[in-house]
Amino acid sequence: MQPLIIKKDTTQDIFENRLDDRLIVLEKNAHLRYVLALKKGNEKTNTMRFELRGEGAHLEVTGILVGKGKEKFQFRTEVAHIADNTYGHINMKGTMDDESRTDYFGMIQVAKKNHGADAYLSHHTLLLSKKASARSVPSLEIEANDLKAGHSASVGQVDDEALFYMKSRGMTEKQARKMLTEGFLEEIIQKIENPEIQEKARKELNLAAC
Amino acid sequence: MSTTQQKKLIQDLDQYKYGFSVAEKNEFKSDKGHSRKVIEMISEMKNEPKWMLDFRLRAYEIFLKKFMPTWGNTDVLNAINFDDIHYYIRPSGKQVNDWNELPDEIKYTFDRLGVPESEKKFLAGTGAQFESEVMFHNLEKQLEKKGVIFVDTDTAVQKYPDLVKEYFATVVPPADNKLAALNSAFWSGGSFIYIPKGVKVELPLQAYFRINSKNAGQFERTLIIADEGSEVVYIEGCSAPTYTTDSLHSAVVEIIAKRGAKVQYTTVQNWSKNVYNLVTKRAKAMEEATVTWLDYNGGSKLTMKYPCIYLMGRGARGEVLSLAFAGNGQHQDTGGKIIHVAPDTTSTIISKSISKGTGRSSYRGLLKILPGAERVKSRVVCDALIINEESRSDTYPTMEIGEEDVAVAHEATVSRIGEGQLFYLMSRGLSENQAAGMIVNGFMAPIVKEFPMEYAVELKKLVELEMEGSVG
Repeated sequence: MQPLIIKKDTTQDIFENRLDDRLIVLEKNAHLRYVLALKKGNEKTNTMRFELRGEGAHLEVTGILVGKGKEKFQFRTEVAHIADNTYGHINMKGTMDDESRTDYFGMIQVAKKNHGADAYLSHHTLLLSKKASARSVPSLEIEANDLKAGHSASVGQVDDEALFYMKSRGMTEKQARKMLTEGFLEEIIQKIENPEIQEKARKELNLAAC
Repeated sequence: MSTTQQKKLIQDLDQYKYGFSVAEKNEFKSDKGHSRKVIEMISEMKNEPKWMLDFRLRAYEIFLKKFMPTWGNTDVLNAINFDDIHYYIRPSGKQVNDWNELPDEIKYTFDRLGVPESEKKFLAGTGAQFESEVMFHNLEKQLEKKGVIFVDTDTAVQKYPDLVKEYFATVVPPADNKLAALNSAFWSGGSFIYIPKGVKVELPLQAYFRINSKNAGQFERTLIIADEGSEVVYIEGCSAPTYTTDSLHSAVVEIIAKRGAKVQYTTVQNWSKNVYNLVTKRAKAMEEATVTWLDYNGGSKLTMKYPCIYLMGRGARGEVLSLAFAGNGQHQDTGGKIIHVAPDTTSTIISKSISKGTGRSSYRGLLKILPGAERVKSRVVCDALIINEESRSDTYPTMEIGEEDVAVAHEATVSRIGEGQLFYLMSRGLSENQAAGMIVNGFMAPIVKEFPMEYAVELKKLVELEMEGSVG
C-alpha cells in the first residue's frame, strides 16, 4: 500500500466516514488530526497503521461509531512510535444498538531506544440492545522505558440512575436514552479541535449539536 | 559473551538462593524422550487402574496431534526439545509423614528450602514433591477427622477412585492445549484436596514442588474440590537447581468450588532460569462461590500461565491477582482469564509486572461475558513498571462482551521509576538503589499484602535482591 505522508512541520485534518486499510506516516513535527465518524461497518477487518517516524510527530485519532441493524465494525489501529518525543492518542467511543457489533484491536508500539513517547488509547462502548456485542483488545508493546503509555476501555450500558433522574424530571424513557447516548458521544466530538469537523461528524451520524 | 554479560550472569546465578542440587539417588529414571511405552511403564509402576492408563494413552494421542501455541513467545516455545527430557523420575524412598524419615538428600533439600519450618509455623497440611513423586505428606489430625482429604493425586487414584473419576479432567480436558495433553499423558504427583460441606480450613495447605535433576520434566496434577460452603487456602511453592540445560514444568490444576465455597490458590513461582514453566490452571465457581488466584511469577526462563475462572452460578465471584518479575533473560507471559457464564457474577483482575534488564513481561488476558449473563460487573487493571532501557513490557487484554446489561472497565499503564520520586527519596538520604527498591516495593504492595505474611516478607526480600545495582 502507498503510504500517505504527513510532511514535516505541517498540520492536517482528515475526516473519514468509512473503514478502509490505511498506512499513514508522520514526519518530523507533523501534526495529524484524524477523525473517523462511522455508521457503516465493513465485511472484513481493516487495518489503519500510523507510523510516527519523525521526532515530535503528533497524532490524534478520534473515532465515533454508531452501530445499528446488523452493522459490524471490524478494525485494527496500530500506532508505532519510532522516533523521540512522539505523541499518539487514540480515543474511540461507540454506541451499538440492535444486532450491531464492534470488534476492535488497538495496538500501541514503542520501539527500542525511543525516548519521550506519550502513548494513549481509549475505547468505550455502550451496548443499547440485548443482541449488540463488543470485542475490544487494547494492546501495548513497549520496548523503551522513558515514556508514558496507557490505555483504558469499557463496555457498559446507559446509566440506570441517570435514566431514572431524567425520567423523574418528566422525560420519556426514549427521550432520556437518546440524550444520554448522544451525550456519551458528544463528549469526544467536542474534543475535536476543528469546529468544522465537529459539525461534519455530527451531521454524518445524525447527532444533534449541543 | 562479553565479560560484563558474564559478570551479570554470575551475579544472577548467585542471587538465586535455591539453585543448589543434591546427588541423584533415583529408584527409576525413564530414558529421555516420550513414547507410549514410557506411559505404560509409569502407569504400571504406579499400579494404576486401567481407566487411568486409557486416559493417559488417549491424551498422548492428542499431544502428538496438537500443535504448539502459535502465540506468546513462539521462538522460545519452539526451541523446547521434547525428546531431551526425562518424563518420569522416581526418587528412592517411600512417601512418609515425618521429615526425619526422608532420605538424607531429600530431607536436606527441603530443610534448606525451609519447608518443614513453615509447616511448623503456619500450615495445616503439607505435601512435598521431589522430581515426579510426592515424598512427604502430612495433614493435621483434626482436619482428617472432619473428612478433609489432602493427599497426592496418585494416592487419590488408589484410595478415592470415585471422587477422582467424577472430577478429574472435567475442568481442563486433555484436548484443551498441547501442554495440557502432555500433562494428562505423563502426569505424576500433585495435590488432591477434598473439603467436605461447610468445613472451613483455617490455616493454609501447602505443596512444595522441587526439581533436582537435569533435563527433568515435572508434570504434577492438582485437583481441588471444595464442597458447598467450605473454605480453603492452598499455597504452592516451587524451585529448581540452576543448570545450563533446560527442564520442563508443565502442570495442570483444576478447581471446583461448589455453591458458596471459597477457594484461594496462591502460587510463589521461583523456578531457576533454566526451567520452562507452561501451566494450565482453571477453576469453576458455582453459585455464590468465590475463587481467587493469587499468582507470583519471579522464576523460570519462560512462563506461560493464565489462571482462569469460569463463573458458572449466579452470584459467583472470581479474582486474579497477578504479580510478575522478569529479570535478565526471562519472559513472564502471564495474566488471567475470566468467563462470566451466569448472571450477577463479578470479577476483578489486577496485574502488576516489573521488567528489569533484558527481562520481558507480558500481560495476556481474557474477559468474556456470555449472552444472558446479566448484571455482570468486572474490572481489569494492568500496571507495568519498566526499569531499564532494554526491558520490555506488553499488554494484550481481550474483552469479549455479548450482553448488554454489564459494567466492564479495563485500564493499563506502563511507566518507569519517576525521576521525581527518586530525587525525593534520595534527598531524604537514601541511596539510588534503596530508593528504587522502595518504589518497586510500593508498586507491588497492593498484591504482596494479599500473600500470607511469611511469603510477603520473602517476596519483598527477593525483589530487593533483584533490584540491587539495577539503576544508575
